[in-house]
Amino acid sequence: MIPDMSQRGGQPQSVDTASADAPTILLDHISKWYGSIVGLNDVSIAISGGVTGILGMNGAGKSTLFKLLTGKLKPSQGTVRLFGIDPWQSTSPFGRIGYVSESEKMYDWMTGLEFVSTMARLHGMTREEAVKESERVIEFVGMSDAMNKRIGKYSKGMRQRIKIAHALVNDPELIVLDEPLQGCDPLARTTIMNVIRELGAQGRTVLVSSHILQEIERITEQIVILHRGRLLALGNLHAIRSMLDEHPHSIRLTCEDPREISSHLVSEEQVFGLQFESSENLTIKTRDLGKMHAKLPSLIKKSGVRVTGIENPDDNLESILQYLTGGES
Amino acid sequence: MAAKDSRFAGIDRKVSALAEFTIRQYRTKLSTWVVLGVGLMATLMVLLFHIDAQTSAIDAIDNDFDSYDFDGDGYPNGQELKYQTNPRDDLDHPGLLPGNIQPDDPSKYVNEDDFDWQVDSSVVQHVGLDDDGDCLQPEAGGMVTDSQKDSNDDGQVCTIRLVWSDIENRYVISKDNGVDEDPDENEYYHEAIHRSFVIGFGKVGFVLLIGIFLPLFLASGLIRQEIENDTMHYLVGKPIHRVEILIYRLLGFLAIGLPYIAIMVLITAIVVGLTAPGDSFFRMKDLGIWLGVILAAWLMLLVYGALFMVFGMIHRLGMIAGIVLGVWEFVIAMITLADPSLMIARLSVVFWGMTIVDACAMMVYPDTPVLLAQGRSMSGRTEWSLETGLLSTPGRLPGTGALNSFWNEVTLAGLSPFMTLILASFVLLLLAAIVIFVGQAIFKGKEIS
Repeated sequence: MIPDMSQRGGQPQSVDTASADAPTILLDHISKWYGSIVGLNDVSIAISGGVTGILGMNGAGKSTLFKLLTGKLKPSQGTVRLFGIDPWQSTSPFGRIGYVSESEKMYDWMTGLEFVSTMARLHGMTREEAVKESERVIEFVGMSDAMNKRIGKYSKGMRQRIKIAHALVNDPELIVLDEPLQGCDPLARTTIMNVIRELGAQGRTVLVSSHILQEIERITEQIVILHRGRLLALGNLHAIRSMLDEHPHSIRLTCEDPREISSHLVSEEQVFGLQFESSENLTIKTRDLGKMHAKLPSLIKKSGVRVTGIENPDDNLESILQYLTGGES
Repeated sequence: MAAKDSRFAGIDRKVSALAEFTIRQYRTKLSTWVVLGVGLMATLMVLLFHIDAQTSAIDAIDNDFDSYDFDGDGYPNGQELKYQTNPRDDLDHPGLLPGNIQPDDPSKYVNEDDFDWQVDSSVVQHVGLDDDGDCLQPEAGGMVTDSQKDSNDDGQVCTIRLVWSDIENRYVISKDNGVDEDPDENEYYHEAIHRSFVIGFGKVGFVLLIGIFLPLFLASGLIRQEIENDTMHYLVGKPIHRVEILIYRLLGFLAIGLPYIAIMVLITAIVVGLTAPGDSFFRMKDLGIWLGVILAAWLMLLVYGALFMVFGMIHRLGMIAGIVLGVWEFVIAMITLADPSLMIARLSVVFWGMTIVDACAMMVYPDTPVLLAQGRSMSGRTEWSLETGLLSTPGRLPGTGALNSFWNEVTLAGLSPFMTLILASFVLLLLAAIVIFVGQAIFKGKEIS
């Protein structure tokens, strides 16, 4: 089955020592419940270096996980260690991390530069250092042009980028980004994705959460899937995907004459089912998505039917979750 | 050594960053300006009333009827007494005496026997001087013997017996008839209400009202609003201890509140100093009390600011606690005004602030008990009015009641006023430290969701 699934509830390494070898983040049998509602249920993860995507539907526990990691919430059970240190015992890890909350709330009355430099000064920088560092990180996220405008006038994408800039101003080893792409326009999205990849390439540990598979896919291969407060999978996205590939997949074509095109598909060995959803849609069931995609263009050309759209309706988080949970989702 | 320096430098930078941030945050909020503006308007309004009171004159009352002319011979009673003629016989007046004596202006005989008390530190004293001779040279056929001139039986002719009573915490007076019985009401009134205003406005206006309301409106949101607005994670996610966040935020509040108090007291001091009675253009003496008011109000801002900040942190329960505290402080303030010796008053913040003002007032105006005794010395004497034919009791001099309400002789554990001031300040600082200690214990374990 999925190789890393066995790590679920497994024994992470030594927890107590704040040694240099300690993993950047370590969650050991963490549970968090709010009254009778379970936020996280017995999650154990150790991550050092690279970009890791935290995938999960809304309410899966992504934000809870991040807030536990950054010392905002206390675990109901289990231990959290940042660089081997309990964030509730010492504030020293906070100097080495940057955290971008999912909340859109900011100090709207400040300019972007004022906000970032104030946060930098809270890290202990002098006024001059703070401004210098702030200008550097603001440029890094591509916000130099708007840094002297009030945050209240920023678009969502600009706000997200300034939030990311504030999290980078202390040159952190660990960066935690909670839904950084949510609500962003395509330009901001691309910028932020590039920023995240760049941060990973610089050797920092980056955690990015999202509920959209394609977003994470464009950033990293290393993923953690959370579902209903549990750790469902941890590992390489492609490994998980290839396992999915052994199971039936769908390709939906939007075209003028679905029946005409189907006559050309029926003879293909990868196809094991065809479904006519409407007069314009044809769904192909296949066991080998890769091969099917390779063959599809020539088959379409042969049929002479005009195809206006090809999509993979189950290439999303829901279907992965459905698969991983055996359809109970 | 170098590491230690940089560590302190880091703290210094964080203080200035967070305090400066807090100040700028206040500046952007409308509520800040409304609260500060309302405080200013209220102060100015009270000052207007005070100016009105200081500029309006009290009608001079002729307490001993020396300006009247009972027998209608044209010579006022006081003049007749001076020349030992009978004020009730129109055929006996100074005009018939050799020397062609013309009748005096009756106004000469109004307020002609003012207080002239030289008080020393002895417990029993005999003071007063009969300026107009109402006691020493009474009406013919009136008090002639020494025992008649010593109506209070203290063995001293035509004096006032002044006894300091530790139990009542004031002077007990008994007067011989006709001594210091026609004082200048206007002068007394203005002096009494001036002192009442300085002490009273200091204690009620600055220490109690501004002292409570400024922190209530401006400090209770220091932590709460950050949590409610979902921005607290920006502050706690930094390498700063949570107790530092509390203290630096409070410093930001104080950076607004302390200058505000100082400016408001300064405005008040200038206005009151210019309108105050006295020979000089500006009454410098009050400044001692105003400095005490500033100190007291500053300490109130510190303690209440910390209290309301901590209360604001506690969801719901904190608001209830804040209201209960506010009501309690008001009740204690009223008790403190009435009788500061009640021990229950010490279980409050406001008592200690008021005590600082009282202690300063005692240092600046140590003669106030005498002033009060003078005001009270007019009570209990029955006079008759020529115009109405009615008996009337003049009661205390105008202004005595106000001064009596606001003047408090507070000595904590028998200490001198100065030591009382030091002790009260220390208690307030200690309270602030305790509140911050408790607050950080709560805040330290608080989850920021």
